[in-house]
Amino acid sequence: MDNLFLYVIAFLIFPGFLFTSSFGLIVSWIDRKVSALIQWRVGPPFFQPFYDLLKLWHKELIIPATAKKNGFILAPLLGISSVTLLATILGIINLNPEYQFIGDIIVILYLMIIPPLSIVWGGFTSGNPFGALGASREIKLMMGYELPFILAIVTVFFKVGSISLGEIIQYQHVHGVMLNLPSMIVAFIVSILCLQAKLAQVPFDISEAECEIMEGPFIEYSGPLLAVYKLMQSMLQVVFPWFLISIFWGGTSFQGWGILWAVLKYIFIITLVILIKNTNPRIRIDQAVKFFWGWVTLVALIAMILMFMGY
Amino acid sequence: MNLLILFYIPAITAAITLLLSRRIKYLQEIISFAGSLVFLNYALRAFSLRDQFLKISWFNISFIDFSLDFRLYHFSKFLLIFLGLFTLLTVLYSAGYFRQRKISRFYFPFISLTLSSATAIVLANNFFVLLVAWELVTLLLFFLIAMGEGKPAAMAAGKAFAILGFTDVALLLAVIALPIAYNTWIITDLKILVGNPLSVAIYVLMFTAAIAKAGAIPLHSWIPPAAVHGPLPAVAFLPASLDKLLGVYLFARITLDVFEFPIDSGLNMMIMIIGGATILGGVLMQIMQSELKSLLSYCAITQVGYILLGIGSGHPIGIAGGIFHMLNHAIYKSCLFFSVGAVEDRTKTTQLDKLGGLATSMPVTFMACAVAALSVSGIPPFNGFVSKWMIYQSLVDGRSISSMLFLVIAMFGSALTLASFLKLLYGTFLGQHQPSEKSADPAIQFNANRDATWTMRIPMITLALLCIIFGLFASYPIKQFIAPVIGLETAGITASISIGTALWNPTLATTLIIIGLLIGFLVYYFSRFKVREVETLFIGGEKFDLENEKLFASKFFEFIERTKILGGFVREGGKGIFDIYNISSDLGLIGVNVLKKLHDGILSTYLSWCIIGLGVLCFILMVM
Repeated sequence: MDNLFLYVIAFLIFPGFLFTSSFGLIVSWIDRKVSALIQWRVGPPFFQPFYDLLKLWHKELIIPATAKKNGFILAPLLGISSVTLLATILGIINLNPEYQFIGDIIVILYLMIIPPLSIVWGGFTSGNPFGALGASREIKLMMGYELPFILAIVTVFFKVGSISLGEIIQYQHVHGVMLNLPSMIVAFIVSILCLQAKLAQVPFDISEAECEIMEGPFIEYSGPLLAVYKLMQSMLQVVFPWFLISIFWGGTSFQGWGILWAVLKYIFIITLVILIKNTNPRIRIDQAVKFFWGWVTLVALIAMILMFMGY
Repeated sequence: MNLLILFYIPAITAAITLLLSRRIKYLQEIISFAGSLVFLNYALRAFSLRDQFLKISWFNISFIDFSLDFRLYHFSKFLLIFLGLFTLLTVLYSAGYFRQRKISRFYFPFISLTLSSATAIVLANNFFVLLVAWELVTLLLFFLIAMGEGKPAAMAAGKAFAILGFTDVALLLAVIALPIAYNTWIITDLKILVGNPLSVAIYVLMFTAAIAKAGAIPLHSWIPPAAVHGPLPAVAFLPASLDKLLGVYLFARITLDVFEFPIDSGLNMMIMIIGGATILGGVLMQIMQSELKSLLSYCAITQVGYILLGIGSGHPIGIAGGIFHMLNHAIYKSCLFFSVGAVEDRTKTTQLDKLGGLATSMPVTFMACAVAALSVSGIPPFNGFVSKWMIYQSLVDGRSISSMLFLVIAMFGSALTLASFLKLLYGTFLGQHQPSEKSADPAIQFNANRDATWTMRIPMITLALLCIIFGLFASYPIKQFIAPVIGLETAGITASISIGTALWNPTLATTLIIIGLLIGFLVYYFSRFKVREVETLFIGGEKFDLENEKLFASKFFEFIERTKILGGFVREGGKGIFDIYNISSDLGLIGVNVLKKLHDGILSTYLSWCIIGLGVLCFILMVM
C-alpha cells in the first residue's frame, strides 16, 4: 500500500466508495423491510433503494435562485467524499492493523463531523429558511451528542492507553473484546444512542422532520444532488456502526468465518437502531439536547468511573 | 548582521511617520508598509543565521547589572518572521480600512513602535529588557484601543490597561526578586528548580503576566470590550495575534527554559486547570454572542485554553502542539477579524441579525472567513486540526482521570466552536439577503454590493492560504519552527523523532478527497443533467414570503439560556459577574465606603485619629 494508485483503488472500490455504497443500499433495504414488518406491511423489493437512486439520477436538478450555487453543489459532494475517506481509513486499518498512524481515531472522529457539516452547509446555502432551520437543528443536535460520544470513546482510549485504532484492535485481539467489561457495555449503550442521532434516525431525526419542516436541509435538493445525499446517508449507516464494532467489539476480520461474524455483529447493531427507530416518536430539539447533556452524559460518566475502578 | 538593526528599522519607521501629517493620503501607510517589509526581509535573513548573543553594558547598581542582553535563537527567529508578517498585513489592511474613516495620526507610528518593542521582547535575554518592552506593548495597546470611536473605546482601553497594568506589576515584582534571590536576571543563566516558596511565587507572578497578555480566564475580561470598541485592524493586530504570540512566548520561555519542575508538581495541574476552565467558560460565552466581534473575542479566549493544555501537559508533543496552536491561532484569528472588518466596512454593522446573504457579493471575504472558521473549529485538513490533534495526543499519554477530563473538555469545546462559527457564517454570509438600509448621510452609503478593496483582500487571502498550507504540509512548520524550540528542553526524546512519528500525512487524505470531488464534478458536468434555476422559493405550492419569514442566527442557541444551571451561568457571565475587573472594583468600593464613614468632617474625630496614629508610630519606633 505504498503508492498512491493502490490508495486510490482502496478509496474508490474496496473498502471505499463502491463497497460501502452498495452495502449501504442493501442495509437501507433491510431497514425498510424490517420497519415494514414491524408496521404489518409487506415492504419494498430488494432492489428498491437502487431503483430510487436511479430515478433520482435521471430527474431534473433545480437550483433555487436564492441559493449560493457553488456551495450548494459542493456540499453533498464533499460529504460523500469524506464518508468514503472515512470508510477507506476504517477498512484499511481493520484489514491490517499495522497500517495505523498514531492518533488516527482523532482523525476519524473529526472526519465524522464532516457529513453533518455538509448537510448543514447544504441547508444554509439553499437560501430557504426551512433549510436553515433544519441545519440549525442539526448543529444543535451535533452539540448535544458530541459530549457523551466523546466521553464514551475516551473511556476506550484510556482503557487501552492509545488513540490509534490499530492498537485498540490489537489490544482486543490479545485481551479479549472491550464488551467483556461492564464499563464498556455502558459506554457502548451510550454510543448506540449517539449513533441513533448521528444517523438522524427517529427519535432524533429532528433536523429532517418531514412532516414539520419538510426534510429541513434537503428541502431544496432535487435530482442527482439529492441522490448523492441519500447515498451518503446510507453509507453512513455502514461506516458509523463499523467504527463502533472496531473500537468496542474487536474489529472485523475478512478471513474465513470472520466475514460471517463481522456481518452478524453489524446486523445486531443495525437491528438495534431500527428497533429504536420504530418504537419511538420524534422529540423536540431542546429535549434532545437536554437528554444528551443530562442523562446520557451521566451514564457515560458512570462508564468512565467504572473503567477507572477496573471493571 | 547586527541584532539591533531589527528594532532600529521599525523604530525609525515610527519616527518618520510620526512627523508626517495624515493630510497627504497614503503617505504614512506607504512608509509603514515599506518599513515592515524591510523588517520582514531582515527577519527572514536572521532565520538562517547562527544563534548569537549581544551584550551592551549600561550601568551597575551594587550587584544588579543593568546591561542590555539579547539573544537570537530558534524561538525568537521564527517569532520574528511572524511578527513581521502580521505587521505587514495589518498595515496593508489598515490602508484599506482607514481610507474613508478618520484615524489618529499616531496610529501608524504606534503600530511600528509595537513591532519594535515586540522584537525587543522576543530577542531579550534579560528580564529587565523584557520587562521594559513588555510594559511598552501594554501602553501602546492602551493607546491603540483608545483610538476607537467615542467614550466606550476609552473605557475599554482603560479596562485593558487596568488588568494588564496590574499583571505587569506582578511581572515587575518577579523580575525584581530575581537578582536578589538568584544573583542574575539573564534568562539563559537562570535555571531555577521550583521547590521553595520564593521560586513558586516568582513563577506564579510571571505566569500571571503571561496569561493576562494571552487572555486566559480569569484575566480575560479585557479582550471582549477592547475587541468591540477598538479600531478593528488594531484589534486584529494586538489582542488577536501579537499579544497571543508574546504571552505564550513568555509562558513557554519560563515554563520550559527558566524553571524546572519536579515531577508531580502541582503547577502543571494548575496550568491545565486554568486551560480547561478557559476552554469551557470561553466557549459557552462564545456560543451565545450575537455580535461578530465579541464572538471572535471570546473565541480568542477559548483558544488560549488549548495552548495552556498543550504546554501544561509537559509532554513534548503537547508542547510542540501548544506552540504550533499559538501560531495557528494568530493566523486564523487575524484572518477572521480582517474578514469581519471587511463586512463592517461594507455594511456598517456587525450585528448578526442585521447581516445576511453576503456570500454572493463578497465572495473573497466569505471564502477567507470560511477557511479560517473551519480551521479554528479544527476541521481537517486545515491547520487548527493538526495542532489540536497534537494536544489531544499529549493528553491521552497523560493517562490520568484529570487528563481524560481535559481531553473531553477540549474535544467538546471544539464541537461548540464549530457550532458558533456555523452560526457566524450563516448569519453573515449565507442566509437571506437583508434589505439595505437607506442611510440619511450620503457619505456613508450602505454599499454591500462589492467585495472589499484589494488592500483588504490581500491580507485575508494570505492568511487563509497559510491556514491551508500549514494544514496540508504541517510537517514543514513543525520541523522548521517548532521542533528546534522544544528540542532543547526534552532530554531523552529528540524532538524530531517524537514529532516525526506522530504525524499523519494530511496530504494523502486530502488528495483522496480532492480526487473524490473531481470525479463528482466530472460526473456532474458530463452527464448533462437538466439544470433549472428557478426564480423564487415556493413551499407547499405557494410562493414564499422572504421578507417576513426570516430565521435569525442570533436565536440559534437560545435554548441554552432557558436551561437552569447552564443558562444561569451564561446569563450571569454575560452580565460580567465573573469579570475580575468588576469583582475587584466592587471590593474596592466596599473599602472606599468604609473609609468614607471615617470622614465625618468633625475636627475632634480627625484629631483623635491623628493621636492614635502617633501612638502607634511611637510604639513601633520605641518598642520594636
